Amino acid sequence: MRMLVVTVLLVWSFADAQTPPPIVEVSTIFTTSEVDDLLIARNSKSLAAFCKDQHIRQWNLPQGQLLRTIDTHGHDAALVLVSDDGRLLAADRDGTVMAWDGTDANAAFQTKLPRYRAAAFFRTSPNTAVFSHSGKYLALSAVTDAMQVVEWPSGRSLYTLKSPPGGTSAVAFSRDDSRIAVAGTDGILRIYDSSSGKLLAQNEDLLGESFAIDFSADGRQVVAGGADKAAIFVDAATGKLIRRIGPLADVVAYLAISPNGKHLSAKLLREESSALPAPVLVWDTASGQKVAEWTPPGVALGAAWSQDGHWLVVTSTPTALHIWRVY
Amino acid sequence: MQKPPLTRRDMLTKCAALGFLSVASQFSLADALDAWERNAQNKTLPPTPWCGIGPFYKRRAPHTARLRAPADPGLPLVVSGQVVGTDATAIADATLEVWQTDHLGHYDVDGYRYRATLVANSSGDYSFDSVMPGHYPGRVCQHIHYLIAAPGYKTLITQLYFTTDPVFEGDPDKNYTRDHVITSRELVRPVTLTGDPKDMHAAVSFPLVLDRL
Repeated sequence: MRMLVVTVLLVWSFADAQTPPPIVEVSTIFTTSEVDDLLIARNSKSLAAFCKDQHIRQWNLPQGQLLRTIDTHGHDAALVLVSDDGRLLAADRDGTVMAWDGTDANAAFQTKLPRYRAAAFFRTSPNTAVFSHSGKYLALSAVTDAMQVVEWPSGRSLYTLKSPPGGTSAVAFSRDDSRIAVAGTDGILRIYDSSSGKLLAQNEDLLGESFAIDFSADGRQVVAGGADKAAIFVDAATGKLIRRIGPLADVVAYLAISPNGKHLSAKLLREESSALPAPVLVWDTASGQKVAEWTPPGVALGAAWSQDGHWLVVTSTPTALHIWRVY
Repeated sequence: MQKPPLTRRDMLTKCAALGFLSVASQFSLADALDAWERNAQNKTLPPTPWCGIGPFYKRRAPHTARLRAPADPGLPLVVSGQVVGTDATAIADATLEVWQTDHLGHYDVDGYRYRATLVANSSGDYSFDSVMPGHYPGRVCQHIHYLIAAPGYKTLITQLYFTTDPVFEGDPDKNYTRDHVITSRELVRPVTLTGDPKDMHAAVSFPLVLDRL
């Protein structure tokens, strides 16, 4: 009898250890105008959204307090970025980039990226621009053109990385800012030295366009995915394929490694329409085991890891933003 | 009162209307007249307007001019054209990659359905056999993606659209901007229907002009 009780307790505790935490809505932010698109800071401390009334609004998380409202004066913003310390950047379709410091509404700089053509930025590709982890640099690329590395707060373009004819579809800095990984529309991943722009390695194991890219916490690996419906891990020094997760149910739209490096999260995109809800997933990076999968009630507009290791996903309804803790 | 003299274009248009000038089926009358005038004035051709690559380009598409299988549903479509430089010189052996949705608007991202690599012949001519693409939900208009590369020329990425697209409501001149991705009216091409109602085929001419490096 005693043995039976011990066995039951052991099984129960093992099952409990394997069960991911329940998915809960941790915050609801009520909005005065419906949100078109949004982006969460990498550390999930704030999020910024384009609203249908042509204003950009920024809220802190998890409190949901409105930090600032910026009138775009009729500009149809097509890209928004928010840094870990709350700086904000928006770009419109003709390549005009505006950036704001701190929490006021006065622009820190405005620049026109001259290489970019009309219709350069599309809302469907939020991964084509990123703040570096130190916040000193911005990597900006139009969907269809080369990537430029821009210095903050001067807005000065430091260098342009060569890109395939179709342009760049995703970009990420390593956590020490020493490397930039770029996914081209040709499916080829390229890894550069971020101080010189020198190409260090490349990988051609994906055939389709890659929409998502990130570095492992130690900077030794790059993970990327896209239309191939898989995520691949690549050696950042050599470009060699290390392993592949997939095939997945759908196209990979976003990938992020957790702050402690132990988990990889993904947001998928339904290939038949980006307007349909698609699953979000979390894997254990060491074993490759999936530890969470959830299809939100609406399209996952944004996602990020919090500093305490939770994977947050944002959906919207006409009057509110809903922040879900998925893992 | 003396009438103003006819321009060359007016005269050629009148000739065409009276049957004194005919145009090969792969060209529209407007295209042919444009070319005549350019030749007469020794002008260079404007390069074909660029249009974004996305979504879902995939490398290593098969070498075939037959994207449509015989039993495929949808309106059969033949697209043809000539690849030339801005000096109107034919570009032999230009490589064209084309990809599109099926007739229902679905891209094949798992395989290579409705994806192909073509090589222009010695006269720069290309042609492929497909179906009229459907409306991909993420986009407004029916379209076919192109990526054209040739040594000595800038790689061109563009898209072909159709004047018959219901989105244009019969007036592509006015309504082509309904799809904000369309960068130029020039990319919206007339459609010629041939055959009989039981076996209808569509044909579109899409000439391509590449800039020199």
